[in-house]
Amino acid sequence: MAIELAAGSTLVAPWVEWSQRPLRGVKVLETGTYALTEGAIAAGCRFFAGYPITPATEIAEHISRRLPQVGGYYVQAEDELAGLHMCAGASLGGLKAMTASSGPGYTLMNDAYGWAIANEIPVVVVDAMRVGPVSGITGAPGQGEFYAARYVTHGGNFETIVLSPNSVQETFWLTIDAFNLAERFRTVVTILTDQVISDMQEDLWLPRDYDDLQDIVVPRRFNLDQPFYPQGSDAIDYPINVIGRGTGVCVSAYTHTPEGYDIEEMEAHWAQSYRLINKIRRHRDLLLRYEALGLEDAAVIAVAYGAAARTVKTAVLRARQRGLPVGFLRLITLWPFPDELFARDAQYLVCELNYDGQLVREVQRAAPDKRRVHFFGKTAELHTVAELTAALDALVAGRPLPALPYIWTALA
Amino acid sequence: MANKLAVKFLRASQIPTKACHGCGIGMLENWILQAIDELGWTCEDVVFGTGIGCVGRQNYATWGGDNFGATHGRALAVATGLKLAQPDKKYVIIVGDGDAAAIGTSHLVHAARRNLGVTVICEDNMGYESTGGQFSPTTPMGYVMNSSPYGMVEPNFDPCDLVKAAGATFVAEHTSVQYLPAIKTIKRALQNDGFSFVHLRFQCNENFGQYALGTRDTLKNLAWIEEHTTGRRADGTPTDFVWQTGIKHDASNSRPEFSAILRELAARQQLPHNGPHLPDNGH
Amino acid sequence: MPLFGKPKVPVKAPGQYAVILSREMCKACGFCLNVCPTDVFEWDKRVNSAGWFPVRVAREEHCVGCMLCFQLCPDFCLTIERKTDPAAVEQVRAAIATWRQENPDAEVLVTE
Repeated sequence: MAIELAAGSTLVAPWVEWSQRPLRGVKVLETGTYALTEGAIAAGCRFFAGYPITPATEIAEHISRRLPQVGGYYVQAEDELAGLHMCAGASLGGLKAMTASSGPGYTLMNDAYGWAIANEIPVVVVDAMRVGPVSGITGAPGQGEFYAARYVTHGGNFETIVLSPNSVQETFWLTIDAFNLAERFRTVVTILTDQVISDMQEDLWLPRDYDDLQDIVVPRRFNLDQPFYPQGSDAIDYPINVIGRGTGVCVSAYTHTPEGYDIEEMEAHWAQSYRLINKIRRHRDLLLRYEALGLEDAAVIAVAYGAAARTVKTAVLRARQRGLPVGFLRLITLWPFPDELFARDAQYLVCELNYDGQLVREVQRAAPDKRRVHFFGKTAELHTVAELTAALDALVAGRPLPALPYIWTALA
Repeated sequence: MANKLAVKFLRASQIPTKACHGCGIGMLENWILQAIDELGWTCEDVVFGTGIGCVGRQNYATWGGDNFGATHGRALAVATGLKLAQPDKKYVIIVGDGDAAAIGTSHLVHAARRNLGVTVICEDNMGYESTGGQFSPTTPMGYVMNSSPYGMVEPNFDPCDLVKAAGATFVAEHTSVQYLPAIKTIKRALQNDGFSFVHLRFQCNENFGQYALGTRDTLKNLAWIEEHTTGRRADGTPTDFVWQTGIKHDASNSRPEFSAILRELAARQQLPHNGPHLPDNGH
Repeated sequence: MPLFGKPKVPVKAPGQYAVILSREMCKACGFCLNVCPTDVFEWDKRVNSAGWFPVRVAREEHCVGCMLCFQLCPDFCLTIERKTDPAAVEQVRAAIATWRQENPDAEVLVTE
């Protein structure tokens, strides 16, 4: 069932083609968490270990019912750090694995992220963002983990892949995409969704038979030979290491040799970092996903991702109906950050659900003139169309952004 | 190396390990190899998992088969996922007192609660020796260590009590002079299809010896272990405390093993076809 | 019953056991030398490549197969085999020889 796009808009994502395939399907009215669960099952996920937390809890609820139905395992971990480690262990044993949490649990996973990234273990991690820090507001959307998802463990010397959906249907396809990228890049792929996209109910089309998706889903392939870690290489589509097949693989927390032995030589760490950074950087063209409208002639481009992009898009469409030269850019791939989408010298209105300004700083870095990048931050509620309209009108007219209660425009 | 079990089971390039001279870790690994050999298992049958610290580093990558070294304290979390994905392998999880009794105690308790089918060998040198000899939750009370210069004032505990209370089906404790009973115990632990916990206390000359005993002499440090195993010093006087060694709890094979529980659940619930579970999708 | 410091005892039936020791693996902890009841070992005056003065087998014929040295060695340096079962001894020597062929870069010198 093809995705409907607004006139003149572009969607760059593999599911544009996937959704056009003639597959028998069924349509339901369901939540983002349901779609995410089904996307994982369809992608071949057979292991989940996590801890309930709003608004990711329903993923655990759904997947605890679905995994036994497909011969998989649901483990309710004692905490989120254990959950991600269990997923890494299960993935090492050959199962596609996923965990899901929200901010307070997500921040506990840093050590486990590092272990999985450094050892090139494919796992999908879902962070359904809410207002923080800590417990914050349980049932309201936030976008405060933009940088945390990139710098998700200590030590540097790695890149990460982070994707963000903004509809229930997109969540289904994007989850399959995340599992595919995890396999191809041998890394942890993070899905940054949020409370709105998780809990909202929309039309969801699902294939009746997930086996029909065989051409889309990247299967698990086992690496039975040395080198287990091709340090110094940026190759992707390298098969996955496995424990339990007699390969003699070694997996550890230390900087390691191609065989997996711990080593304390600078040259070895250079080679490992080269791989962990460049396998993603050198294939960024495979990772670019976004939605764009009217960028070619826009004087003002509104930038957002996730739930925030919903109201931003409405405001842009209405402004364009009134003849204003405004465009819309919705990031789906957040990391590696798509610098190439910000080449145009326009005014950028970066709308995100936080008050400290995160996405806006990357846009400032990537855009030709950072003085023309404006922060439009809000928290706990989506930007209203009226707020966005006032901002777009002001920027088009060359006026400063209006001072609106609950909107933050300062970055310093 | 000349040890025939090491030739059979270990990786030549990783031996000798970075262990200090006289460290007990190599002795204990030798005993584990004997237990594995007497059970007739091969490198393909057994997966070693370790943690961080002396015990983690000195055991990591020595085993000839597949092995992993997890982050500090989390070896059992990784082992939980692994055991579910590869249930037919034997898992020997060798961790130190820091991993098991401090940072990783939560995972220890829950693995015991779930009766995960792994054998945990907690090799306990009664301190964080790798970082220079700070005290740990198993350091004897009152002992001077690198971070207890006035004597350890924090209460300590025995992780054996903890795992037994949490539901472990095999719990035992030995020291690094009890090689024959330890090998027998390890064999029994390995044969339990459930959570086995073998607590092995051993000597550390460089740090524990330096701070707590005032000597790095290898013979004196091993003699200290021997004295606190028997409760008697060489001159016949009693020691300040004595460890209770032996098999403390043996309910081997009496409870369902965790991965078996989940496999049976999947077998009961599995649907005939792979698609959304909806009334109008044939379900 | 102390491990160390006990007097060495004479051997009634000498020459029953082969004692195979790796001097390159030895870190000179002294356990084997001090625990052996029959005075098989002594300190080597030549240093090994790691900088230790290792133990050497001085009186192999004294070995009674108590296995205390084997069980207490922390560095996988020792194998004790009954000489009266030459097949067993040969098997161990062959295994070590094969392993040395497969690991030519490992610096190991085996004294017998």
